[in-house]
Amino acid sequence: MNKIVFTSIIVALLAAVSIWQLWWAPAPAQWNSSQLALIRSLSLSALPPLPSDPSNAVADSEAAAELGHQLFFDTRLSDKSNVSCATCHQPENYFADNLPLAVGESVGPRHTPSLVGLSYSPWFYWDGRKDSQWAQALAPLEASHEHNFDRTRLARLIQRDPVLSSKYEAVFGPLPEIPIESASPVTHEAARQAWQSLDPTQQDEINRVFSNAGKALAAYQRKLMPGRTRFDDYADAVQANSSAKSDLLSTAERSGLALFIDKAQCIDCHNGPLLSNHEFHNTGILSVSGQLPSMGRFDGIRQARDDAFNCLSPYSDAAASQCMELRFARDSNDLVGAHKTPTLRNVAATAPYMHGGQIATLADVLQHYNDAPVSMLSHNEAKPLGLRSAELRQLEAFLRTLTAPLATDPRWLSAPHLEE
Amino acid sequence: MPLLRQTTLPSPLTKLLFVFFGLMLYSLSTEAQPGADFELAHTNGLRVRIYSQLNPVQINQMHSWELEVVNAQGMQIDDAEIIVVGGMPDHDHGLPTNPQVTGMLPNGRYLLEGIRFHMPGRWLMQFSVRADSTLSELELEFNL
Ligand code: HEC
Ligand code: HEC
Repeated sequence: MNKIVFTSIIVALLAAVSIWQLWWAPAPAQWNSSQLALIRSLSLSALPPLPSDPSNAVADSEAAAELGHQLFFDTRLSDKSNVSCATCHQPENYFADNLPLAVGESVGPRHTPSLVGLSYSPWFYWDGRKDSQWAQALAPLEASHEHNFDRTRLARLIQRDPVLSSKYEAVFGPLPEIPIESASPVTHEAARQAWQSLDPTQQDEINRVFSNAGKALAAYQRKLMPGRTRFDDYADAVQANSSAKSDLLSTAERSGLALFIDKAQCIDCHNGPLLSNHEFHNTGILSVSGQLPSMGRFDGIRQARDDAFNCLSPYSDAAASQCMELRFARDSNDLVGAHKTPTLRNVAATAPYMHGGQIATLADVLQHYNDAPVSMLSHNEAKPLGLRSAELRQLEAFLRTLTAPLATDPRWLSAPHLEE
Repeated sequence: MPLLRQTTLPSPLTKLLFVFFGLMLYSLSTEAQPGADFELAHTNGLRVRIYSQLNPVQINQMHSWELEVVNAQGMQIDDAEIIVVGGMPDHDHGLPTNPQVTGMLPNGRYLLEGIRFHMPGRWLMQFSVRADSTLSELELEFNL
């Protein structure tokens, strides 16, 4: 008898708990004015024009973008002529690659981020170790696990190829004499010795061609803009009529939006029309298996300051006074383990997630935020959310409304035709 | 993990004390100088007027502020030492940047460069102004 009562109580409790877990949180019937303001702030309609990049004089030059377009897809820019930027930044995958860790000449330590809308970011890489998109573009060319190429080989390639050299010279003026085949101060031993054998003027000339190639690659990437999604249409429609109901988003998606801007606090970091503040936060992501935990921005800001191609370097086109981000960057211990907030535009199509591709699905990402585990290094800024599983699914439904084809002329989205 | 939450979020008491000390240190003047975005007044009479070069102030945009410091007699002070720190009391973190006064403008205002806010919500900026060998602490609170 007792046993039956006991069992039925347990069963009733379990049923209650699961109903509670699965009970959908209602979508608001009407948005209030502060919710409306937050929704508006996330819409693509609120995206300002692309900020200028004073460190790159050709950032908005069409001719430079053409050159960058060709370089971006050109596998000759690698040791074995098998890797281009597009090997990892694939146009059909929102310029990411769907792999946990990127694979170039070998497997690298980080997950490939999407490049869409990235030109709005003041910092580049998960740890922000580059302060411009052109300076960023130089690093993979010389990284042994990516292109495994070097700056002198690149300059020679441009010089010898009639199409590349004429496009280059049209933008940057005459190419210098390159007296040597392969040399770089940062790659393997033989190349470093060859670099030492060059005089400072020759080194400077090669660095100049190298940084110009980076500037062309940046000019090309500035074309990669996110397209309007169902969410954007909804966000604009509710401004006119604050009734939350609409055919544009389902009840679950609207409930997810309400959670995103309020109870789940996603908007603290995933804010603005790109759903990223482009800042650095520790969100308690486990390190990649087999790797030490990443120091993140703590090391990144040091590397950016020491970078030979940063905004204050001789290869930058900016006056020192224009290098605001680098000059006023904060540096403190709470940046240990902090990584750059990625955009959530097209997030449904860019799995897996996080700096090491540690999390496979959106559902797992949301579970991670709900638990907010203690960080291995420093502290996790996100706090446990206490959301029910139905609410997590609503949040996921909302995240899935943020994907759309790019707002970029399709001719930029595949390798250029070289008949000209 | 309720314990973890308790230690990381400021308790209501801390918040109350915070507000109390805040009131002791300064009072936010209701009438800002025409054109000024904010005006702070210390009980010792020192005032700081803030003119943002970005209007309206928005998240995720690097910008500068101009500061005008006047003494109790209403005279502009042009040799003050000013240190500014900011943060979000509810999130227990600071600004993403490290703003600094980098010089004086011809109109006698101090140029405070390197301001960028990266989250919507309540922000608190603290101004330490050393003028005529007196240190005045003023606070500005606002929502973005
Ligand atoms: C082998 C794959 C691979 C290749 C090839 C590659 N990348 Fe990347 N890219 C990555 C990975 C992985 C990251 C993130 C690395 C990190 O943060 O440490 C990244 C980061 C970036 C970023 C910064 C993204 C952000 O969110 O800050 C840009 C911009 C970029 N790559 C452009 C390029 C360009 C231009 C090229 C060609 C010159 C290129 N990449 C070649 C894999 C690749
Ligand atoms: C404290 C700032 C912060 C908050 C709050 C936050 N995020 Fe993030 N988010 C980040 C950072 C930083 C990363 C990258 C972390 C890493 O790789 O180490 C990230 C990564 C992600 C990713 C993976 C994207 C990708 O392309 O890899 C998703 C999805 C995501 N967040 C969704 C959310 C949702 C949904 C919420 C609310 C429940 C949320 N975030 C709250 C900062 C934040």
